[in-house]
Amino acid sequence: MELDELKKSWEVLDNRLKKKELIDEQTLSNLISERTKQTRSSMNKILLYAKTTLIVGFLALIGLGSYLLIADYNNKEFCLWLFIWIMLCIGMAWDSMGYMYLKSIDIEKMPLVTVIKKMTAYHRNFIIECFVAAVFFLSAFVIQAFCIQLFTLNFVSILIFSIVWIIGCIVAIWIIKSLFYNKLRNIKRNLAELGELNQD
Amino acid sequence: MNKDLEREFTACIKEYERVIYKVCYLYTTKSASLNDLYQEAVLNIWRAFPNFRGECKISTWIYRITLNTCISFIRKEKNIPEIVTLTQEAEWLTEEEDSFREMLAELYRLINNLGHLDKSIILLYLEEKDYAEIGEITGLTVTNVATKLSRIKDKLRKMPHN
Repeated sequence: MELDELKKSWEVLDNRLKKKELIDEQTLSNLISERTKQTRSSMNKILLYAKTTLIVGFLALIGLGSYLLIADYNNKEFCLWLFIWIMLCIGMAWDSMGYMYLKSIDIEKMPLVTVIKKMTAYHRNFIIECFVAAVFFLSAFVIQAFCIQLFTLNFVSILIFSIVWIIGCIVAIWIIKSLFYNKLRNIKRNLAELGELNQD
Repeated sequence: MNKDLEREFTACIKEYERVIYKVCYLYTTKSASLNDLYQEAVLNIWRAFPNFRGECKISTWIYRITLNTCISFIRKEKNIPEIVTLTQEAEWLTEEEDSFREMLAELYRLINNLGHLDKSIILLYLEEKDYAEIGEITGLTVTNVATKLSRIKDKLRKMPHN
């Protein structure tokens, strides 16, 4: 399609919109008064969510850390809890960085290219986070298998455990693929457009 | 004082409501409805309004905040209560003739095949902003804007027409 055709369509839309009142003063006034009661920005919601996750994670870290200090090292499941504790530490550090990163986005002052770069990186990191979380759960499952000494059990138990593990893998991959396919495509597109700037 | 600010803000939004609407319309997705984006953009403009010092044109400032809002919008909650409901808008669209709705859908489809940056540049171009203002909003140089626009024209030309 030529740009001129696009422009014509845009002008038609603009002319139609001129005749309409999109938002009335009462609605605007309600919106402002609601704003003074509480902050409803989606970015603030995300920051609040990140803050809550950090607090809960921190508490879990202390609780599990205390348990590990007094736990019996020879206990079968000690290595599993230690693995979870280490992953929790890494997850907390990652979350803190994400929180600081989102906080640094200033939509009022930052030019568009900067916001696009930051948001693309944020979305990409979110997908990486999901992959890592999936790997973490699968690893925890494998470690648990060693903890309970799966290989010493009978054939049926090993078979059931393996089937559950394979189904878990398939479901995890399917969820990630279907949930993030569009996101990944958009990220790729945004990165390509930003990459063009470096070529210019 | 607060009332004066509110009046000033209302007048400003009324003047630029179509601008905010059009930007939000193009960034509407399944997870970010037009109402959500419009409400978020208006709120962000209100939040930043007392800090506006007139260092750039108010239209430039509004475009920047609205575009940045749409790009950084992430929904965490499924049921955020809506205060702004553009019901009149939704109604008038269904009242319009089929050819107009088809044209709008085609426009939306074509522009949505572009990424955030190209979409913003084409939107500002369609809004008849000059290269310098597009550069000011996006943070690109005038040369960058010109090169980008020529690339976008090529991309649009290659897109299949419905």
